[in-house]
Amino acid sequence: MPTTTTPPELDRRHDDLYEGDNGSGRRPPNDKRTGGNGDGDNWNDQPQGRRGPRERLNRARAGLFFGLFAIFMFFVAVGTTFFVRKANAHVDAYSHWVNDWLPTAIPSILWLNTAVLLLSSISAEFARRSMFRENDALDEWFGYGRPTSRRAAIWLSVTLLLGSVFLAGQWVAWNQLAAQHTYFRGNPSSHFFYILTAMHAIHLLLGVGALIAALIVLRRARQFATRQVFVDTTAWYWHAMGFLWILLFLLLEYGQ
Amino acid sequence: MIAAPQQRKWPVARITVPVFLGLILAAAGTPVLAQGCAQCLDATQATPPQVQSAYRHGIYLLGGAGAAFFIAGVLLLRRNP
Amino acid sequence: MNASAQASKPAFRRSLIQTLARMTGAIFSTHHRNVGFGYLAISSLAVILGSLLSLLMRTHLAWPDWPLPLHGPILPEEYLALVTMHGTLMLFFVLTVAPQAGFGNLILPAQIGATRMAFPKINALAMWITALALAILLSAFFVPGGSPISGWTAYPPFSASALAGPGQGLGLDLWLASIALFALGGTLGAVNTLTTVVKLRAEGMIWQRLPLTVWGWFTAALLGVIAFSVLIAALLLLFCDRHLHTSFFIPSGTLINGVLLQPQGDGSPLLWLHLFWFFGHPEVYIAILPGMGLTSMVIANFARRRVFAYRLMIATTLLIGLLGILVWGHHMFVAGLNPFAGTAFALSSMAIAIPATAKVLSWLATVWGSRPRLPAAMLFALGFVSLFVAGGLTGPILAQPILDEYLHNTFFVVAHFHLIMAMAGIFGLFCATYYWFPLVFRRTLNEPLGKLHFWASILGAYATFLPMHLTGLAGEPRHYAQLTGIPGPAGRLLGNTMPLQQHITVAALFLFCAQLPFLYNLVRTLLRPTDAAENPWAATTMEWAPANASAESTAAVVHRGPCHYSENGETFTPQWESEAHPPE
Repeated sequence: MPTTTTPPELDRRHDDLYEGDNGSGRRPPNDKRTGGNGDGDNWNDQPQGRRGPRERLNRARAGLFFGLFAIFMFFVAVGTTFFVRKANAHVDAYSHWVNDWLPTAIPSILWLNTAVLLLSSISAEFARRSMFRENDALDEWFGYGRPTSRRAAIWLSVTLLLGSVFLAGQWVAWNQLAAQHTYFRGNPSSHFFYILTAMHAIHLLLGVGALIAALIVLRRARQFATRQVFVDTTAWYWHAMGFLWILLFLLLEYGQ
Repeated sequence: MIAAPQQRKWPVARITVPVFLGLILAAAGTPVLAQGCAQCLDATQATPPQVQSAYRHGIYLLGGAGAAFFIAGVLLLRRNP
Repeated sequence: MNASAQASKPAFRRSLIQTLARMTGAIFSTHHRNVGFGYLAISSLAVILGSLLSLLMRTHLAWPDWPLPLHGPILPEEYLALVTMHGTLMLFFVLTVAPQAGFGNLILPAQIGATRMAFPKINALAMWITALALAILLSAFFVPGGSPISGWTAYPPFSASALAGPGQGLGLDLWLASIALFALGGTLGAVNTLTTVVKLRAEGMIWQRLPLTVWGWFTAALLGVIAFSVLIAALLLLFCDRHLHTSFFIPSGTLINGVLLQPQGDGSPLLWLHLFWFFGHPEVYIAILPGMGLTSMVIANFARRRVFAYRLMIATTLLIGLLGILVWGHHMFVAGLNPFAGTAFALSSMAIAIPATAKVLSWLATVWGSRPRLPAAMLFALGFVSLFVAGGLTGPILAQPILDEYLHNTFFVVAHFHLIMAMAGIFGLFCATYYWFPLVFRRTLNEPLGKLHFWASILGAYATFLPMHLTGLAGEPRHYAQLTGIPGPAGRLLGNTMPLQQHITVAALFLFCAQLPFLYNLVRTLLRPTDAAENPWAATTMEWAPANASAESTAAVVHRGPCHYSENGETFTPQWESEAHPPE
């Protein structure tokens, strides 16, 4: 039984240097010029879990993955309440079933916000991918300047800006509803509108915090791998929150 | 002595699929087998069908999402041998 | 002399500062062992308080007129506060924290051949959040109105308004905050555990070779990640109902103490039950799954055999976890659940009997016909099996809606969950303590004292909780502060249970006192110099690997599954040994 295995992607070779990442961002800076596979500093001799940057990255991603279980289950629970509460009713004095649910008119600015959030996700993805672009990443790993970090920082700043615009847009939406005298207390549907949007905003604020942390790490962290981990997990978290928002938006727009 | 276990494919499907089929069959059979307190039955019968179905969908949503995440977690462990 | 005293003074001060620094370093360290000890300290405090509260409850039930010294007679609402705090402390801060987070942190990394957890800082943060949650919960004793009275399940509308009772104002708000924090800490800890198991296993520790304890921790953590956040959602919605005039859980026209709570709004308490028990039932498995895994490993260790049907045991662990997500409705059979849904949940609940029975059969088959050594650790593992069977047999009974209709609000249920969850869980913890004490402290706990502890504990456990089945069948309701002085036939019926009530109370006191030898044993052993050999139980799992004694040693490599013992049980091949022992 082989106790040591070669990570499969070390065997895979791509002709196009810029294809090296293949979108999933699995790669450490590179396996071609680092003396990786068989060039003396054999990764296979190292214990699993500390074979290199890829392991750290994967660990952070796994943690994020499990954390997202929890976040999504939270919204599933609120969503369950949404459906049941929407249907619930009571018997009035004339033995009629009376349902107190009045749909909340969703401000149309939410469409704009959704578009902005999607754009921010795209820029986050640019930032993430730029951290894994092979030649630049290698240069940076060797310490010849910081081309990838600089590019990623620009894209992350764009994401940060768009994310802030989204949050401001949510704020505007709440104000618009308030101007129509639709408050949190008004109706069960407005309870849900405010709870879902506010809880999503809180999670997105965590994402903003992560973006800021990633920007700081891009400037400060000495190890390239640390920078990769922060940018990568932040971007994935951002995507997940974007996806979550689309689900919530569909629920609020069409589910009421 | 005893050889190290081979990395045989784990028969998850062989276990989970019958379990789920069984559960689905059991759930399909439930309408003929209402059990519970008489008050519960009265309360349910006095409830409009859309409320009943809302609860039913809520149960499916919660249980389905929970089970899906559970299975996803186990699969993630399997993917990392 | 004077000079030497002067010289020793700064030296003493320096050593004092060093000791303090080391202690603060240990307290605020992110090393998984220190975090594990932190968790165990939290649950030790909680278990002592929780047991004392239960003794107060028992005393009040048996002798309702007895006034508590310095306090006076126990009022009904105070009894309910005792029930609530006992349940909350025991379920959250003992049975969830100690097996999963406490021993998980102490042992799990070593058992998978890792030197650390995946996210040490998050791990330590989770422990501190849990500690804060306990502090907030305990502070509820001291606020005006006292601690909440709506039980650890906090059913609305009882829990939805401060008007409902003395502790339902600030006390319940503190409870909500505490449990929300606890759930947050639990989620963070579970993410850490999951990532550790998935990503930090040593080379060769393929998942078929993972000890069943690790499978228990993994499954429990998976359940934690899924269940805790649903609880947070439910708590948030309940908070809105209490303070923001929403009506998620409050039906229209709810009158509480003569006050119309919600003139309009069509919430439903049933919704809370769905959300709460979606969390609550997996929570029960979080408490018991690590104990199940440990029992398998310890029994195999002392029977000097492999675990019977190892892969099936992995499958049953996962299946119990999966089914545990899908059975929450059996807590709601008499709460207005649709009877059709009741049947579905009854079926899924009874389905759990299949993997659970497979586990019991594996434990019995592993130990059957072997000549096991019977140190205290093994005795507690066997005690776990015994309690699991005794408590588990009432499970399929209670899973029938028709039977549950009668039994649900009686002490029969109390007996059921105390045997299968509380007592089995605690026995699992004692098993873990006796088994891993030599590993953690390099000292072996005194065996005669351990055996005394075991026999007294199992006698006390059965003497306390078996008669509760009888009082429950006789109709003793749960949550009733007083069983005497009730007029009519019901009162006569309950009056008949009073001799048993007094017996249960005495037995509970005995059970409490049975823990004194254990405490004495702990202190006595810790004061002694180290003595234990490196692997006193001849265990095969990675945590006993000699390399682990010196942290950050060379990488561990795993060569085989656990529990490789020779046919005659005399030699063994641990997981870390590259070559099997030469054949005898």
